Amino acid sequence: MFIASFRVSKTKLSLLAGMCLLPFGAIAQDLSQSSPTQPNFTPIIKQMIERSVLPGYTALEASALAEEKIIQKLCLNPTTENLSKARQSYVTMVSAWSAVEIFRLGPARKDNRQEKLFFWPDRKSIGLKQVRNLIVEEDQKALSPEKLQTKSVALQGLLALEYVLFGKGSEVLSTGDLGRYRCHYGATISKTMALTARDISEDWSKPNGYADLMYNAGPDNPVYRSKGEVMQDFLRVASEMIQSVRDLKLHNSIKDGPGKSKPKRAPLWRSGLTIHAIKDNLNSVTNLMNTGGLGSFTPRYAKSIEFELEQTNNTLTKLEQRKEPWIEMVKQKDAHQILSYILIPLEGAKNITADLIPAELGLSLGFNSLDGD
Amino acid sequence: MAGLASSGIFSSALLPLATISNASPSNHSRPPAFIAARKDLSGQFSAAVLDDQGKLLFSEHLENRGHATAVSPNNKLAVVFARRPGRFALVLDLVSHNKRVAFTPPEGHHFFGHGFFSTDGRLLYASENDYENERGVIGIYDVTDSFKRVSEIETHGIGPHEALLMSDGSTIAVANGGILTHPDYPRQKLNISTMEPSISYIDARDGKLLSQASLPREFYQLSLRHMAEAKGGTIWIGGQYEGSPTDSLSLVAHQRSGQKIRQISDPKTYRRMKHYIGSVAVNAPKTLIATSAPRGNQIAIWNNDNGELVKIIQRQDAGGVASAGEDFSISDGQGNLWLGEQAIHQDADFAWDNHLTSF
Repeated sequence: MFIASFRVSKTKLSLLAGMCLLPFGAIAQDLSQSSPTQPNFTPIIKQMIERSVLPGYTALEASALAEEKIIQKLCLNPTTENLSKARQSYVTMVSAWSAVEIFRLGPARKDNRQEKLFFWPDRKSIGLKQVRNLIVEEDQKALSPEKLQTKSVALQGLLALEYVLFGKGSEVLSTGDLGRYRCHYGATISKTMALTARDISEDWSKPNGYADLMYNAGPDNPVYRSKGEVMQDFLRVASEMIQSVRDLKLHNSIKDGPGKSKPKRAPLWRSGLTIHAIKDNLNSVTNLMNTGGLGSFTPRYAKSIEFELEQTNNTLTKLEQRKEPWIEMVKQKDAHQILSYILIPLEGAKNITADLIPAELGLSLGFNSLDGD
Repeated sequence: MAGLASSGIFSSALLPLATISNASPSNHSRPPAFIAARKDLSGQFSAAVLDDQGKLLFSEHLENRGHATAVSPNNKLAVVFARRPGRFALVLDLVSHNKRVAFTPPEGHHFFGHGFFSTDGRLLYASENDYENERGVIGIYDVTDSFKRVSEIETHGIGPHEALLMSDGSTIAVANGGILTHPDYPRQKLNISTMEPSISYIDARDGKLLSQASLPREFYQLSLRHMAEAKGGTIWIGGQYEGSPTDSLSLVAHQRSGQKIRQISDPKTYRRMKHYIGSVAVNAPKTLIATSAPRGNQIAIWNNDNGELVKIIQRQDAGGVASAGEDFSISDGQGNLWLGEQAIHQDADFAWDNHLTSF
């Protein structure tokens, strides 16, 4: 399976190499005005927002509210069974977050909302230390969602909740008074995440909100001077999602050998949901391409991306079925080898979204505009 | 400044660079006037040196993407720095048209892509990330001893980007961009919610912090990155905004001697600049300042005397700006080097990288 995928990727890479021989002037276009040669992007922009972005945040809000209720039940009745239910509900929340993590644009960048929902990477465990201290000190202000929203971004998101439910000492949640504060803090995080997700949704959909900004791209628009620039932003986030999975979550953890691996660099290892979340991250790209329609102008490339990501996810599913903790799995030679292979189709998929589709649609960014410094 | 005082470098008299070849590669060639990093169509990186008419004099391959260049006061040496998180610096001999030597920062550091020479040309200063300690530093290298590192000074901030030696010859101004990065997570911004950009003024003689300036707290996500010194010791700074794309704010600031730092012009001026200033340069009389906004395809020219906008020039994907007498030269991502309205160098097989240096 992977050999087939690798072959496809090599083809893509050679396509990319060919594209690189275009003069720089030919691919760096001024998108301040819509080009007559460009397709009509408007229906697809609307489709992406209505079918991918908004349902994604609605699902996140719903899953966070559901988790809040389940954790509140756990607080009232701290049993092993109720803790298990709260942990199970967390899986749904992780899926919901992983489906919108891709949309690091517009409303998610306001007030550090992306970081509030998912403070990662936490290289020096600064956020983790804050969470631990908060639990030890039993800061009552952290039990109000409105007040928690004003605290450190590290205290109010998915990874803070992961520590509450799965981290060291989490077993107290099922044993009564000892876990009371921790439990209520977990419920408050869930509610706070629901509020943040709702804030993002509202900023997208309200009159003159971010969706309207995208629909009304033009010379006087403060963010998007053309529909092409809107498309560029969606292609950018798709490419960055694949790159984040490949480079930051996978390669940065598995490194160049089992002995050199640093599995704790990947997110969600405490809950055993690292692979689960990565699969949903990649599904979000496919969803944006197909359901959202981002790939509809370049069906050949959209198919290729779907193929690459499907192959990757099938392989990840097999690893997931081994039911081994991520931190142990990465250290095993065979699993490490499989994870290393995955990097190849992911590189191919990234190149398609970052280079090939933009080039075909006349949306390539100039050298100085792309990833500046 | 450990080690620097004992090295005796500051007490030394100005010495010539004895090892420099005086041989000119051609009797007919004009002297070098421009240098910049670039990328070719196959993805290879190089640094190119051009004369004042835009003719390519020579180029040298770079192992990875370059960023900005420091030119020695006597115009005989240039040091091309790697773009972050790169670790190479390549020294070019502008007289013999060859590369001289390459050097790296110490383990645990990488370059941020900018640097400058001391007024006597004997020391090179480079902005660096001491990434394990999450500390910005300026590394100091001895030009007369194969660019051996002799010391470092703290920049009192995270992510020092452009740094320059002010015209008094002893004050270093450095723009601490405020963004935390680490090579384990290449180019990932790790502290967007807690950024603290600043401008530090440091005494080059002893490394002491003289003063530090920050914008009002509400602009904490405006990363202060590039700078130039204009007449009267006014420092002009270009920022890159990490906050919401719908926010409206001024991206250029200046700080006059003895005064507070302040953003200039109405936010509407920057409406099309996409929250991103790429380079800042001052003209030869130090009366005009150019700030490039490559994502907005604009170059803004500012008057140092009154702080007002003079004009906006439209240039596609133009990142590099540099002094050209009273005016400015501009480089772009399509291989053009502009002098006013005239492209004095055109080669669509190359994209000029973010910065241009003239001398």
